[in-house]
Amino acid sequence: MELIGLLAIGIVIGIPTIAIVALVRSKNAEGRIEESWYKISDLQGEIAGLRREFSRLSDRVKELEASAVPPLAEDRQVSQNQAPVLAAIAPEVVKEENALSVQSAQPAAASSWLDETTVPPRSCPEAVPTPVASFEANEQPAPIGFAAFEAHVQPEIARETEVAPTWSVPADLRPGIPLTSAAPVSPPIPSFAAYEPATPRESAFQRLKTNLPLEQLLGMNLFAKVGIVLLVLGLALLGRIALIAMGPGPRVALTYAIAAAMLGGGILLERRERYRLLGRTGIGGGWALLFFTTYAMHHVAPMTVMRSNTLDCVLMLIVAIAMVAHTLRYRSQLVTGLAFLLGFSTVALSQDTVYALVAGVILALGIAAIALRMSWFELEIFGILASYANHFYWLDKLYPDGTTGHTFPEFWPSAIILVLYWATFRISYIARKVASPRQEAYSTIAALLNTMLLLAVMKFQSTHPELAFYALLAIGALEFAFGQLQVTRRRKAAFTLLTVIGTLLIFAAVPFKFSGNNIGLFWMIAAEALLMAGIVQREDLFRRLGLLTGCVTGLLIVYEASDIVELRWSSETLLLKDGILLLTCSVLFYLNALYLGHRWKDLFGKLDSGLATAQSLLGCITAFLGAWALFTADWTAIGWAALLLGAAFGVRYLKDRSLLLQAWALAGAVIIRAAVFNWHFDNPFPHHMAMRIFTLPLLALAFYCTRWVLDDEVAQWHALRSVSLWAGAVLFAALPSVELPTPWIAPVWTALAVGLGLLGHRFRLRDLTFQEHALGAATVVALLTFNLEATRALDRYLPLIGCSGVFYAASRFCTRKDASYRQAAAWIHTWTATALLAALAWNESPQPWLAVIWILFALALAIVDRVFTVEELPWQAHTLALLAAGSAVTFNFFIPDKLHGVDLRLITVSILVAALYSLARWVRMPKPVQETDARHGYTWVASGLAAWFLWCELQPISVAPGLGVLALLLFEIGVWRGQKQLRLQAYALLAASFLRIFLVNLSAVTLPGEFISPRTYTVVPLTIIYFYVWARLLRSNSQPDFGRRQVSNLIAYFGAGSVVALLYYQLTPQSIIAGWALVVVALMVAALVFDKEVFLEQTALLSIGILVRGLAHNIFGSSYFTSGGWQGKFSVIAITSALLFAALPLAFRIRSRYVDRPRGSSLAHFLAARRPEQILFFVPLLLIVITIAVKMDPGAVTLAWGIVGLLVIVLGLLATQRSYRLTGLTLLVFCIGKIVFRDAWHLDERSRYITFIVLGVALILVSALYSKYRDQVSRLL
Amino acid sequence: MKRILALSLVLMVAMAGLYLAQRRKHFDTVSPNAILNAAAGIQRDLSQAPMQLTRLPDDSEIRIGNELAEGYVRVEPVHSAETETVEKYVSVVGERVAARAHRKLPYRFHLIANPDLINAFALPGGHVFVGLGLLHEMSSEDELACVLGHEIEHVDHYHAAERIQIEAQLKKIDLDAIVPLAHIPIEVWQAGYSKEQELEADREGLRLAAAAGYSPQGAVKLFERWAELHREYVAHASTPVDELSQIAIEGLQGYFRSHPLPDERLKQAKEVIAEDGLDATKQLTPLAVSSLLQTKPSLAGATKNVGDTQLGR
Repeated sequence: MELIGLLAIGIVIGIPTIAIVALVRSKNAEGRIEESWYKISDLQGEIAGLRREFSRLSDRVKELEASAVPPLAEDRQVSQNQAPVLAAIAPEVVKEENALSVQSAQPAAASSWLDETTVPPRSCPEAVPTPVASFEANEQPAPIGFAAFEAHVQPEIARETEVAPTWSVPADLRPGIPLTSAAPVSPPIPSFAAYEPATPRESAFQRLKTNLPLEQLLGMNLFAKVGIVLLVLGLALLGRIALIAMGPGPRVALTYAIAAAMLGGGILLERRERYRLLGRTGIGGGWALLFFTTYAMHHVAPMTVMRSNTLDCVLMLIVAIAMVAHTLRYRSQLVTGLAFLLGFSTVALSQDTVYALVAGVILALGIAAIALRMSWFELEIFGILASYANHFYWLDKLYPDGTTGHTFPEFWPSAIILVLYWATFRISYIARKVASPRQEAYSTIAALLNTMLLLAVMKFQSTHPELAFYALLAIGALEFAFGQLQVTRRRKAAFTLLTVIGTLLIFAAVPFKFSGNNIGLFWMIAAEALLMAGIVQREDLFRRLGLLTGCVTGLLIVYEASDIVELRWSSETLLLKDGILLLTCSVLFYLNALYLGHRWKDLFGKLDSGLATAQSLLGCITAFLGAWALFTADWTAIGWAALLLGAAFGVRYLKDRSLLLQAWALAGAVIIRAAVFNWHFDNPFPHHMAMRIFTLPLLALAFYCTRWVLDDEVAQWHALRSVSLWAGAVLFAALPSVELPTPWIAPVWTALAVGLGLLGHRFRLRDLTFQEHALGAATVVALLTFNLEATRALDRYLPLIGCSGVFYAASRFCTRKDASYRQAAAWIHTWTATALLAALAWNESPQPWLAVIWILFALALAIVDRVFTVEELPWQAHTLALLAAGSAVTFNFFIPDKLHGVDLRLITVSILVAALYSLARWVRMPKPVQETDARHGYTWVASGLAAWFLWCELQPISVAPGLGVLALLLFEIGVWRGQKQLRLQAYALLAASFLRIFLVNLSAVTLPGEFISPRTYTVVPLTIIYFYVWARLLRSNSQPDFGRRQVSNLIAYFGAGSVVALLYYQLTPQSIIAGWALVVVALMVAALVFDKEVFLEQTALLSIGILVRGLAHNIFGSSYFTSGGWQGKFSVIAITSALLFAALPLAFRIRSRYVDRPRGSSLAHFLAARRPEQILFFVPLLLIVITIAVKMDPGAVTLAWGIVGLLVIVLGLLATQRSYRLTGLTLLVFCIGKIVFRDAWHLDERSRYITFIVLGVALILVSALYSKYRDQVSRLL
Repeated sequence: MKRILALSLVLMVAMAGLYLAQRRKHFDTVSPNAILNAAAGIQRDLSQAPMQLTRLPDDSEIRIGNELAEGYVRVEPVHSAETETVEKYVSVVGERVAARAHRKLPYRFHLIANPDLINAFALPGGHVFVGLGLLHEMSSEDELACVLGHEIEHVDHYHAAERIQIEAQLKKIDLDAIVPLAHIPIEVWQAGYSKEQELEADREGLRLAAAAGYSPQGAVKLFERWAELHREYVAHASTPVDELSQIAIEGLQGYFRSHPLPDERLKQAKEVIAEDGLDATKQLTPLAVSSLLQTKPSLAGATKNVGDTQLGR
């Protein structure tokens, strides 16, 4: 019932929704049409512009040509006062006279073009045309060449969209046109503006962007207006609140007077061109105040002087209502559709008997007829939905719970009506002529809906399930037959759709009468029949349907056979019948896929091949299941292995990729089965041994045979070949792992590996050599797992030493001779052997002597290398030496034991050091390495020990300076002796000292009696050392260290960082940013003196740090009650900001240096080096602005921000910095926003009018500044 | 020559620094405290803006504090008449000190009769808890006033309120609900605050106690004793590896428990006394309940495991 209710609600809501959607889409279409007209008009405008551009260029060409002729003497004597007038005339003359008198005017025009300074554009503003004049000029006839284009455009559209040129002749100068006949005597000097081409129509935004940049728009234009508004409002408030003692009459008079003053002032200013905009805003403000006053005369209580609301309204308001009438005079599918749908709705609401539904049939007929006649196939979809929904609604009213299988009297009439619906719409579908793919798509939807809804409603009223088979068969047959009609076959989509629907219905009918295997049988027969029909008739659709239904049948068979899988989890019973049936099916599928596919290859396209491949896969699955049913227990894997071999043969002879895939799957299945079942890990008793010993080698043999079958060099087979070989080897290697005692597994595997390696080496089989490697790896694991922990010494020493010896011995012939990785394999073998022996030593020797044994082993390897020249042994010696050193550092330094009265640490470390020095001298190194500073590894150790010594001997707070001194000495020696490694050790020690100060020095407390803080006297020397090393690096002539610039920068960062950190811990929390600001100034000075970018980077970083800390601590994080004094809420921020602003001149000087230098790519570099003045400006500004917001009285925030904004703009104008000016403008805009959204509603009256007036004045001042300096600003934009 | 001179100069400065450092009669602790304090300070600073913008009203803070205190008092009840006497005494001293706090909250003082608790802490809304173990460490009423002033200032300067706000955010606790508040463990309040907050509470607490008529020497004595205990407690690493691991462990453990070293607190107390011109010669008032604390085995038998406590939280 819920479903029915939902469906009814869906219909009730859906039909109007669809209608609304259609209406909206119709409107959208109208909008798009309208937009298209606009685009056409834009194009016309662009054409007009191009036309004028063309005309201008033609003129210019002619002028240039004429300029070759010396101008007349009297041309040069023309008074410049005449120039603007004549300049405006000249183009008009060119246009109207159509080049009749142009030649005489050209010389003067050319001279004006070539020398703009003679008549500057701004000297003749009168020449700039007004829009009205432009429109008049537009009425001139167009040249003939463009008339042809315009003839294609509708006349009314063309009239509406003609574009006005940007130049024209003032009306009062029209009489002067005939004067052009005297042009040769007195040639005009046209202004620059007069020659500007007409621009195409642009959007408002583009016009703002190009003609009025944002800065000017805000500063000059918008601020003037907003300022006036605020001023007016402020004055109004002032008048209303502050002058409360005044009566309404005087109050009105006063505001009128102020308004008049503003009006007058505006009029005066408007006369001066530079302040015209400001004047106009003044006039606007005056009028606004007049408006307010007029409004207030009746509506504001303290100013009420008028009782008549009507009169006040008449005075105050001008109301215009634009009425737009929509006349829809076109034939609308929507309207028709709505009519029909409403008809359906009335039928649905009024029906009571089944015969009332005949009306629905008539409507369906009508809608089908209209759809056929008008080709409104979308409408038919609504008709189908409405027809069946209507019928369903009727049924649901009669039987809310469905018919539940019980017959009812109206069954047959209802069924007939439904069939009539179906027949009506099906005939409509067959008989129609489709003109476009879109119509065909709608038709397809209609055809599908027709059948689906018929079946759905029939199912709802089903009372005779036994008839379902016949009904489906009949409808399917009819659909199939309709699909074969000549009229249908003309439309491929219709033929395909009806044939498919028919076939599906026929197939769907079968389960209603048959069950079990019979379904598969019937389907298989039908599928084969369709397939054969498709092949005989060469009809794609039949063939594909046959293949498709065959696939579906196969899936059904597989689904039913899945019981075998379930059964096999618990039982290994033989399933003979099922196995034979499945294998038969498998044969059939393989015949379809492989035989037919290859026999009629020309018929099998891509889709057919895909379906055939699917059948091939189904054949594989059924064969797999069949084999599982017939072969049980240990023999299952054998059966599958046989299938694998068959698939491999198929791959070899048919070259079929799907068979290769099947072979992969079968190989995987065999491997899993062998591992899970045939191995018998879970039950390794002797009675399994016979079977295991028999089946595992048999399976290995099968895999080796597979490898043999796939012997051809086909790239796709390589992987399967390798897997087969690997599987065979694994199966062979598996036996010892389960049959032998654990200590002997590794030796046997080693022997097997050597055997495989030798075979691979002899027969050049790469896979065998790989298997040797894998088995070798497994041997290592076994040795480390089983033998190293064995209880008997024999089991530990013999296998490990023996296997190591074998690895050493086999290292040179473990791979093929021509293997590319031969050397790597040999190296790995010897490394493995060495590692095993080292591990044995680690396992067996006492801890203090481990380092000694390892270092002596390293020495032995180095000596062997000296004798036999084995390349990898020196590296093993190095590794062992490193391990020995690590062991010593980790353990030997902390050994308290003694050996015969002598300190054991002394003995072992001495041996170690001696051996290290011996190694340094004796170990052989490759030539390229020998030439490097590898030997300095030992000096690194020495330096490390020295540092350790310092750590032991000095006080914690002294360690960092001690490290610094050591680093300084190492650095100086390194520079003196030209030894880079010593310098690098110095850098490392400097880094350590820098880190160390954060652990001790900076947290040290000043004790009573200490005049200098321990922080200071331990960190400052380090800072000096850092900067000393940095300066020495700059001037040193020694060989460059790796990335010396980075090193010097890093050390410079240590220096600055130590100072910054010292200030952080030494100063009070509030004043840290002030200290940092001082460092910023110092860094700027350093940047100026040394000309190094690193200081600029530090400046930028520190400035950002100041900003973050200032915001987080000084502004938001400061104490609530104890912020008095000079560290209070404003003073530190003010000092910090002042210091940062003080560094601005330095920043500007530095910036000027980078004008001619190559520009860095990163933003950070750009900001730090090329634009230091930006960070140094914005950081303090942000601090100030946010401090004002957070710390100031709410009433004064906007006021303060406004003043800051004004000052910032003034600074921006003085420093010619656009970003500053934009920031000031942004701040003022924010103030305006704040006023509009907050202050106007939340501030008290007094704060409000003060804010309004002051900010209004500030904005007007800004506007005045922009007006005054607009030329400079324009140049800087 | 210039180079040699410059090098000599640098070496001389460095050696001078080394000499001064070696000559210093103080063993400075190697710890990640400086970094942790900075991190905690930064974390605290960064949370200040949202804290200020979402500040709890006083009545909500008082309600939350009452609910929390009710839960903790239920867990740590006062058992005997002696402990009740001590608690009353603490309340008298506390109310005297709290009289000059900035915020006029209903300050209440509780004794946790656990002799192992050498700690004190405050809850939002004005509840101050003092551990019995901490009272054992005191010899004068001025020291108690200093401790109570410190805790009062944690409340007064919204440190406790901010802590509950942060806890509510971290644990998604609805501050209007009663039951979830009970899930905030007492250790949250005992863990302490950032270095700056602790120093602020020290500074303002000392001023509060002095304004209430107590001797500032109480704070000095107390901090001196803690500094001594701290020196005894700190383990000195024997190798760089030990030191590094010690620093790493302290860094991991101490991130949320960063606090100034006792030496630094002592130094600040002396500076406040000097700056404010407090009467450092004023005699200390003996602790009125000292006899009670000394005589009763149940009160005096505390095992002072200084290493496991946070002094003066």
